[in-house]
Amino acid sequence: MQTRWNDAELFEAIRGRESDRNRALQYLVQHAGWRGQVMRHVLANSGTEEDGEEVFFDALCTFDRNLREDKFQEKSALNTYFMGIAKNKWLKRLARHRPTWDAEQLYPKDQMQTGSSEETIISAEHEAVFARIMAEVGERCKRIFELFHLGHSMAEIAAETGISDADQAKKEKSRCKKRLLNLLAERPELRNFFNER
Amino acid sequence: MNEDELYDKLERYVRGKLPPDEVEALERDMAADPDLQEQVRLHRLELESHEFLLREKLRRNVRDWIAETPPEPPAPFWKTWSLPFLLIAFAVIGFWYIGREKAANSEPPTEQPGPELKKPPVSTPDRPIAQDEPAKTPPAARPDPGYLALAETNYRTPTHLDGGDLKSEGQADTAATPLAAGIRAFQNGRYPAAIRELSKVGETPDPDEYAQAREWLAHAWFRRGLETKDFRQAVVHFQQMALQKDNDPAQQDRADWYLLLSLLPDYPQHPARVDSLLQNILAVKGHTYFSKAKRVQDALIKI
Repeated sequence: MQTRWNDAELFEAIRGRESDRNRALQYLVQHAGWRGQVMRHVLANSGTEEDGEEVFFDALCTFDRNLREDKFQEKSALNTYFMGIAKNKWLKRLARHRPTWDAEQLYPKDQMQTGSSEETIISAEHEAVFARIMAEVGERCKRIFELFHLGHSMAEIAAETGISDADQAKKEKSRCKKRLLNLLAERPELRNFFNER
Repeated sequence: MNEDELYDKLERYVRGKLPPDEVEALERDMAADPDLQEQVRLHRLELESHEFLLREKLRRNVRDWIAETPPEPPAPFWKTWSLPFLLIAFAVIGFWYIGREKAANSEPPTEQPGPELKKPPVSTPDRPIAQDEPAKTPPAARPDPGYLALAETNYRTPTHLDGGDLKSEGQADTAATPLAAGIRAFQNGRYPAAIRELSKVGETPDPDEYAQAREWLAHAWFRRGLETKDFRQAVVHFQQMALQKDNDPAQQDRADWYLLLSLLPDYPQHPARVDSLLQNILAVKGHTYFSKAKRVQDALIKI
């Protein structure tokens, strides 16, 4: 029997270590019923299953990032917040692909969603650029970046990546970072990244 | 301040972890220093690239988690039947009660007539019975013949797949793996069978074999799309291929191109996506499919 997670547990785990975050996100995907909620909403509003899966994934990414970056104000339950994000994602997608769609028909003004609509998802074109850059920095650097980004200490990064100690991990991280910054600086496609989002 | 110290400070700044007084000082310096502005921009991009890594990992995880999610078990007998049973029971009791009241009213009238009986609610046949029932996937819109023809004429199975990885007919016949069976079915034009077999190839133990199977599978869906005029699955599979982080440039070029061809038959539904993919390909001079993409772009303008 799957244990039910409450909001406080989910909140802590998503903002915690990589393994805790993975367990929490896995629970949300498999057992919390959130995916089904998004799917039903999209299907009931002119979408396809493919749309539903994409909206669910995009919403999950934004939800995860917003929690880690302290953007969740704790004014609502996590599920309400997540569904707000998902509905806004679907609204934006509709607006992009079906400009004639009447947004108020889907979300009357008095029922507008509370979830953040801030765009944390990047375009497929920018994703392709990042993918190429990351292919150049190498697997070990990528792993160091992931762990560092999730707040792991240098000692933990050293243990996880097979580096001898925290000092060496710090040096390695610094080397990886410089390489990444050089690669980022070389890509003209990213020059207006923050204006094009 | 040396480079490492500056980087450390900028890292904390873009992550929102710099104290307010230092933020103020840094922003003052930035206003007067374009080089510093550029460093901050690069650090912001670095943060986004880290998010990109997490997102790609999450994408793979979500795919696996969905695949391993067991289907919901059927509801137990008592749950399935308890609601209809209760409704029937209430209806029987209701009719019995109404009948009894009517019988009472049909007795010789007294001086004061009894209160008028309230009619039981009438069912409304036009009201949906199960509003939460998930809708079925709508059928794909019929592709426009012009765009479909454009996709079809530009499609060639990539040369590295064309001969397959099966060294000989004999090997194919004796190979018992789903990959070999899928390739065999693909080469014989039995695309539903190819899709079935190739879908069985798991992510382990050989990642190359898995990547190969996914690519064959995406092409099988495209070929099947030419038969059914439904390219949605081809789009999904080529998109997954395009977003794999470990693609070499040739793989990435193929993924871009075939994703474009899968989207093309339904161009009127997602013109922005097709156009941006085309621009993406045409922005890379050495892209394997540069000249083909140019021809598609010219043809689209004519259509």
